[in-house]
Amino acid sequence: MIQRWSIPATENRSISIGRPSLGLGELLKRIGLALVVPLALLGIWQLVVELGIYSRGQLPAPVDVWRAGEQLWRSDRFWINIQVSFERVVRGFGYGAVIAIALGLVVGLWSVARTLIDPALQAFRTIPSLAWVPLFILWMGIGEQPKIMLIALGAFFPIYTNLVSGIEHVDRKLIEAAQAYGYQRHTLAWHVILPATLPSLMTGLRLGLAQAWLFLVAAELIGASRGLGFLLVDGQNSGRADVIVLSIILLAVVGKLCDFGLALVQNRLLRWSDAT
Amino acid sequence: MPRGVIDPSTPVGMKGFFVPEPLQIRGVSKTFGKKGSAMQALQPISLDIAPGEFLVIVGPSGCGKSTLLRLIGGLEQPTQGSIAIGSKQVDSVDPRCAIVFQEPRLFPWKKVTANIAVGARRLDRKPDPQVLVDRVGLSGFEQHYPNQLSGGMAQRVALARALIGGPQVILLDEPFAALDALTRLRMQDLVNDICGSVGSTVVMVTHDIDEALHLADRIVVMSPRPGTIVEEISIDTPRPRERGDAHLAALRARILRHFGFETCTESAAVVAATPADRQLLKSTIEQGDLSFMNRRRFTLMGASALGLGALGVVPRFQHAAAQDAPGKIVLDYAFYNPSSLVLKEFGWIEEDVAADGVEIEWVWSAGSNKANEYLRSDAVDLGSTAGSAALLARANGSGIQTVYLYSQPEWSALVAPPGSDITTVEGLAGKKVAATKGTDPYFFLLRSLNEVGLSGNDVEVVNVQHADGKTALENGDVDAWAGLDPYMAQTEIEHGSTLFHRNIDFNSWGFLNARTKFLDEHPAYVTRILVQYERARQWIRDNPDEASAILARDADLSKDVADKELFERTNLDIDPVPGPTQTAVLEEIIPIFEAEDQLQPGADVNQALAELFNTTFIEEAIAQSGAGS
Repeated sequence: MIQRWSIPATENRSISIGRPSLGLGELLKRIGLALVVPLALLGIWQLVVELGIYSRGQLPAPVDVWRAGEQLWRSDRFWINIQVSFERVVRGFGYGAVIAIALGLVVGLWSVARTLIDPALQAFRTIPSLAWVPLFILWMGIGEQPKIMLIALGAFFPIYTNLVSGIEHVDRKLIEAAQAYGYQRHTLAWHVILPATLPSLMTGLRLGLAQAWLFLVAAELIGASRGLGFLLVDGQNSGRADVIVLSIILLAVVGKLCDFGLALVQNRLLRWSDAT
Repeated sequence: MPRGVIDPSTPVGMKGFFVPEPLQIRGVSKTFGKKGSAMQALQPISLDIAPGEFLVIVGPSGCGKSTLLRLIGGLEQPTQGSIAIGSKQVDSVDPRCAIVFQEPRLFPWKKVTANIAVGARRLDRKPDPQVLVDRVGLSGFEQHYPNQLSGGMAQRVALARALIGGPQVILLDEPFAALDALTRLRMQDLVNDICGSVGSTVVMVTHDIDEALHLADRIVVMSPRPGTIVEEISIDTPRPRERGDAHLAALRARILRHFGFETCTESAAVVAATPADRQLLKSTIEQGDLSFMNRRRFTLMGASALGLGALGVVPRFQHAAAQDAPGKIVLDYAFYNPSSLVLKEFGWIEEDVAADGVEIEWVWSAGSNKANEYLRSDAVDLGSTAGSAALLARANGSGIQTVYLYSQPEWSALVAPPGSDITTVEGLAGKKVAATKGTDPYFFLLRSLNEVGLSGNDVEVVNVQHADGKTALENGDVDAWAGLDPYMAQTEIEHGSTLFHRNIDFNSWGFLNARTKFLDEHPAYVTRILVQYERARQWIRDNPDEASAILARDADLSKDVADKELFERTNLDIDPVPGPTQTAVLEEIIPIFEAEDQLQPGADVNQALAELFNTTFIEEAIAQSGAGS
């Protein structure tokens, strides 16, 4: 007679569930440490200004940039520039992501499409963003459309490339196991390959969003009247180095905040993943 | 009691959904690869496995035992022979079999319960995974993801996944090889316990002889590759077995003798094998399924897509240290500065300074904003701007002074496309107007708006470089354009656009500006350049048609357009010394700067205007020319 053996529970060692939540002290410490480098840069910046290596017209002092910010604030153009740029990035990124995911799925899951489409796309990828600007102006004028298109183009490639390579690199063993449990073709694609690709896709989306912000500046070279890229060009045209530095700082801050938002989504979606 | 009898107390969800049937392997062999590079993994093998039997296959690495297991499960097809469960052949992935691999191979995005449920997805009647969770001792871990489990726990989930469908045959492919010794023993007991109670036939592959002895009803010993069966040993020692049992120890020695033949080491096998077999070997050697998450490749797109070149920054110009003579002088040329085109064409400045070993480099300025940018970044030594742009740059901290007036132009006006209903400045309210900020047309626009009681906020200014502004106007992207010649003359002649508002007094003269540092270091050369500028201005007045031809060619304009710019809109019959006339014009523009936030906070624009003009050099140049002629 087969005897039932009690199952030892000792192996069930306790493993922390999810990400460890940070205490307030730890959080403050992290924020403090993250600020060290920016503050040091600020100090070096001030020092270089004091030493007079560059003229004020070339390198404004931090306080000049602060004043430029105040000036912008007083003229009510502070939020509108951020808002306009943000909207462009969101729209461009949205279009770019949708097209990249659709095309990435077709190319990743269907080898005929890969041979047909992928080489051409890879060639397009090497074209620098600014090279498109004159053509886009010719084709679409200088309204919102060419700007959105350019940003979409910028967001497209990291998403597409990561998705395709993610599909390509799904663990063969996992696929084999899935096949052993009856997953075939469509079910295999939708229920195994796609979820397994999600980490790559999220990485692609984050890179794509960063790229969207990069392309924003190029896009706002196309006859903009508002936006952070416009502010930059405006500073360039009117010789306002303080405005140039201000726009760069604003671009960095807003870009980082967007990335942070997406990182939260990523953490939420990929709680199962080791890689986040 | 013989194995294979279903224990009536087995909970629902684990009971065999298939009636156990014998497993028959008939002359099965497997060869990987194509002719020429073919590698035989298995010699023909025949085996009969009874319903509910626990069969363990042992053999050296690479002997084909895993291949045999995969053939049974239908993951591979035999080259020869056939496999049948009961009366039905196995010819593809067979739902009657469930397999546990060396790695757990769980879906990392599914929680424990969901991963277990995968094993029952082909069944119409879905058993409750919770029964299996409890059975493999994972209660409390239902909502965990695989990456939160230890290796042993993950393998238990894999076992539960195999069991939940109540398969007729359970295939175990070295399931405990990756676990630590203690965990392995516990897992063996678990398998012994559960598999026995389920009643399924079990075929297990291992190279752990003790494991085989502990679990098997029958052990099949295989030879090195190409594998075949060298011995079959039935074990009738009752369960649960003592691990130190004397009979088992004797069997152990017997089996080990077979292993004494082992010549097929893993490394040798990997070297010798075909790719297909190498993959197979690799899959049995590699440990840990979750590592795949770390293999992602990041493709970083060129973050340099926005190169500095795009922002118009050209490499910083380095002066040679030698005396007064600079190694190189960088000058700009612009279509709005006809003298610069003539100088560039004839090389008079080059001629003049060649003896000193000074090189002249020409940089094209697309507009005042660009010229100012080059001056600010020390990329040019002398640059052509409009008066307004020069003053603004100086006020905002650029170290420049105006040394020369190259023209009194009427280069700016407000332009509407043909058929537009905009005929007055008032009509611009609420419209889109293209303009290049920081240039004369932009200030022309603002002053014109001010004149009729409007401001920059009453229109939407679309900032584009001059040439793009013309394109935008012609494409209908904007309602009006603060135009600049020659583009303005071009759209007027070639497109029928109209200049609906003109005012020569709002044009702030053509200023040639030098970096103050260059003035300090190379004063003699400034004078010599201005001598040549005066020569060019005189030459244009003497040879208007030829000058127009040069402009037409350089700017790629039709002769009509060049004529219009040069003859109708450019007055070269002027006093080239900047003075009160220009000061008066610029004073009018200062309120515009202030109203439009063009000035850096703290900038003193009045002081900038007071210090803007440096007439020393042009006066000296005129004196020299006078003396020379």
